[in-house]
Amino acid sequence: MFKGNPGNSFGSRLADTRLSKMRKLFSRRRRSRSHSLPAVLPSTDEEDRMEIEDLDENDELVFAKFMKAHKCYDLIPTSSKLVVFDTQLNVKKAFFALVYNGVRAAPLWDSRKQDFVGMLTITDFIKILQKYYKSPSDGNMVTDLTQVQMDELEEHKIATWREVLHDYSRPLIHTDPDSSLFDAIKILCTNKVHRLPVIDRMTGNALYILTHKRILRFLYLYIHDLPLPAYMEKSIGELGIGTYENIATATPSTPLITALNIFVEKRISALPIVDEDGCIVDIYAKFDVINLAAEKTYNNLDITIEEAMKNRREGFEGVQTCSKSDSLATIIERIVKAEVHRLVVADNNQVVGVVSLSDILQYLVLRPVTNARMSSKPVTPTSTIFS
Amino acid sequence: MADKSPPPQVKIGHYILGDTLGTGTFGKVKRGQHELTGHKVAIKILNRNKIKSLDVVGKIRREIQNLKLFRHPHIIKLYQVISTPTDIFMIMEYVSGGELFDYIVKNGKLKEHEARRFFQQIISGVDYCHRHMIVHRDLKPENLLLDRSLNVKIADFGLSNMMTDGEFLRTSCGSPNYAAPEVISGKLYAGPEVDIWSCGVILYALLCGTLPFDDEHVPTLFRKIKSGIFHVPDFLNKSVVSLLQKMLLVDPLKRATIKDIREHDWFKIDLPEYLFPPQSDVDASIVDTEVIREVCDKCKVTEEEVHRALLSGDPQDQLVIAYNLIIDNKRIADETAKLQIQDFYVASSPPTDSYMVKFQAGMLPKSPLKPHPERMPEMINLSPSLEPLLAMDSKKRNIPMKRAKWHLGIRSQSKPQDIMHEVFRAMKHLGYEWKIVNNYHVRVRRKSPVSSKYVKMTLQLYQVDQKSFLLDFKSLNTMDHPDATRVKRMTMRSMGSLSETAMDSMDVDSEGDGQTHQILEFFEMCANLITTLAR
Repeated sequence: MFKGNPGNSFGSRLADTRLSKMRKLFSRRRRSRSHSLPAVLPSTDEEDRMEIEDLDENDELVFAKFMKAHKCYDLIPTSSKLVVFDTQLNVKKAFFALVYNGVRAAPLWDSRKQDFVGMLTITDFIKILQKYYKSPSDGNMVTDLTQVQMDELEEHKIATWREVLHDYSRPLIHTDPDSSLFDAIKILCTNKVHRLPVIDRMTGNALYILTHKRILRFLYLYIHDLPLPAYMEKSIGELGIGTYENIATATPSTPLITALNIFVEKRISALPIVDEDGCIVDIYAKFDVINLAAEKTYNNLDITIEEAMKNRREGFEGVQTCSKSDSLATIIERIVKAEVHRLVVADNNQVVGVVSLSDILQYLVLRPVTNARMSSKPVTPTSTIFS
Repeated sequence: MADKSPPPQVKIGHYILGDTLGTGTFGKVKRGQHELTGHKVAIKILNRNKIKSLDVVGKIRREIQNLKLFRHPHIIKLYQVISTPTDIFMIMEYVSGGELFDYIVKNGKLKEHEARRFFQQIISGVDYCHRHMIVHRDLKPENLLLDRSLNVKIADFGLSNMMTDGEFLRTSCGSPNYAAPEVISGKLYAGPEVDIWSCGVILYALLCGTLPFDDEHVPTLFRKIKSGIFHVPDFLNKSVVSLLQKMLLVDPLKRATIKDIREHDWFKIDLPEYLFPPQSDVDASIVDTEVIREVCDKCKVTEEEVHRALLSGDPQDQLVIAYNLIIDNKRIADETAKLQIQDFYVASSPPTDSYMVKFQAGMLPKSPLKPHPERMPEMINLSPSLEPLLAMDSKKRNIPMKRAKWHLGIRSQSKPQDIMHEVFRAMKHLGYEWKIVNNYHVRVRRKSPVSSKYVKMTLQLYQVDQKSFLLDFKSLNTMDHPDATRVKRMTMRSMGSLSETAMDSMDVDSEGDGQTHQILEFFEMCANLITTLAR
């Protein structure tokens, strides 16, 4: 598929300036290897460099090759909205602004540093609620920062929150439009983030926020043009895709604050909701928490999940489930069409696991490369490349 | 019922047989459900006795094979054919909206536009089949099903050919009201014209809620049909009457063709584009070898046989038909893929199940497009500066906020000289440097305290109307590539105008090492100026 495909067939929208830059990068490395994939940008990771030629005949690696052959640039819509917040902005307004603009995350701009310093996402909103919420019913001793009441804290600036959450020390995870999708997936999966800002190295402009969802949807557009590996017809149970142990669930009567605590402590993005018989009835995702901002009802988090979801967005089609015996191909189709981040794996209506976009991308794209590297003979890659 | 043990499940292939949906000309139709996926289908059960023999290499077998290739939004899809010594099971698409017949019975005569919409869909489906050499011969409202969104789906296309001669006529006599005169006269050959007649009867039924030819006494009914004389109610639009008269002409040679119908003024009103997609401009003389291979695979023949069939020029040859169907399907698949890719690059495009949904959207009162499952909720009770409004403010309660319009620039009604004076003062206060191009046009730069690079923009004052002016900001950092600056300078040098290069020095960066952020630095520069001016 990629052989003899001069240039990137899907990336023709590439600006000329970028092309020249790409050429420059190529000439620098040209002697290092023959090009079986013309549009691949050499990865920054030294280890990654050797495998590309070895992979040609291995259909296990088809998705890895596809992702290496495409850049983040190829996924950016022709026109889209990007909202940037100054770190001096009031936190409450920032969350209102997310809702107001219909965006789920915004890069943060620090005027003093003249640089992007982080991202503000719904997870921040949850962390803030969770950290500072003092239940009206509990009279716990509260210390230093937590003494501040919710309504006062609302008046704080983003910068203040970042200090509290110790976010200021973490450098912003981002990528470049010229980076391969493969690298982007690696960043998303290894850092366990869901939003990856794409910042142009040359102009320093933030261009887009990349997600697992968009990457898999892009792959799905072209999936029928690719030779499909045999594992696509195997079941996710057989392949071991997804999480099947220690699945956190909640019931409709679980207090909202408990759900938020679980989100933060377990670093998960959704909670399947089960009834008294353990049957799956719904799902409460981090995204749903933004409704608290839209309705400005975050002052009482002792309400139950059921109450919190009363005003659930219309058109919600219920929780998307699948079975452990569904083939990987079926799962991909379902998760792309449903436009959700995860499917709940159910057996007889009982929750047995969760399969997420990142599990799928990890399996399709990252795993085969790791396997190929491990199985390939450990012959001196450096000597072959630089001889 | 409750005491009895549940009846044993009967499975046809992977489908569990359910209750009976109806009984048609060709046999019973039962509901079916896939044992694993739960996918719902309709299963038509044909008794072998009524069917021509399905010999291994026979024409009929290939014809059924071809039916599986039919793909049209208004034709019921045939997924699979399973044959047993006694019966033939056809696994077909299931639609939930019932029969068009019941719809007319329930709603009486339809409004003209509603009748037209159904009729256009029917003609589109009939045209598709005729182009692929299949005549229905038994079109009637019972064979026209409806899906959830009230789209017509034609059932039983191609089945009449499977019936043994005589059997078809005998069964169709059960509902002869839709049969063309030449069919009831027992002529053996029945071409596409018979479907046109039936469509004419259907159109009449849609518009009037009654049949053009009807009588309890079958011989009288046959006489009426053969006479071709029908009553025209007063409420019918003249234009549609002329169409009906052309479709219900007794002489099949004079009867309207699909082409005539498509060119008729009444038919063309509100005609959705997708019903008659432009024919591919692909040169038909070029043979697609991939498609040939697919034909070989599907029909179990050799490539040579397909080539011979294509060269024979016989459009009725089943291999030629199979070839054309696959070509057509590929074209539709290509179009769909193109649309999907287009959608992908349009930000926040509504999710669509298929390209069909998109077309249907405009025609239905309720859009079948499902909203994105994770769509942002509407922000309520918020001021344009994002301050929450009190819920007590009863008038504004729960009104979604109006979106503010944003402009970058300053509007003022002061005198132009005064505006510029204020601008210079603000710039001085902010420590900006500037170069005057003319009285109302300046180039401004500011050194970034972090990267030590210059951020540059121009300010231009425009007159908007009699008394108001607009100060426009424009970023000058368009040369986002360091090479570009270099190239520009080099061309100048080669032209021998060194002095110009020197004059241009204000535009050349004093090379700092820090990372720039062009858009945000520009925004900050504008914002600082605006806030200073507003003080």
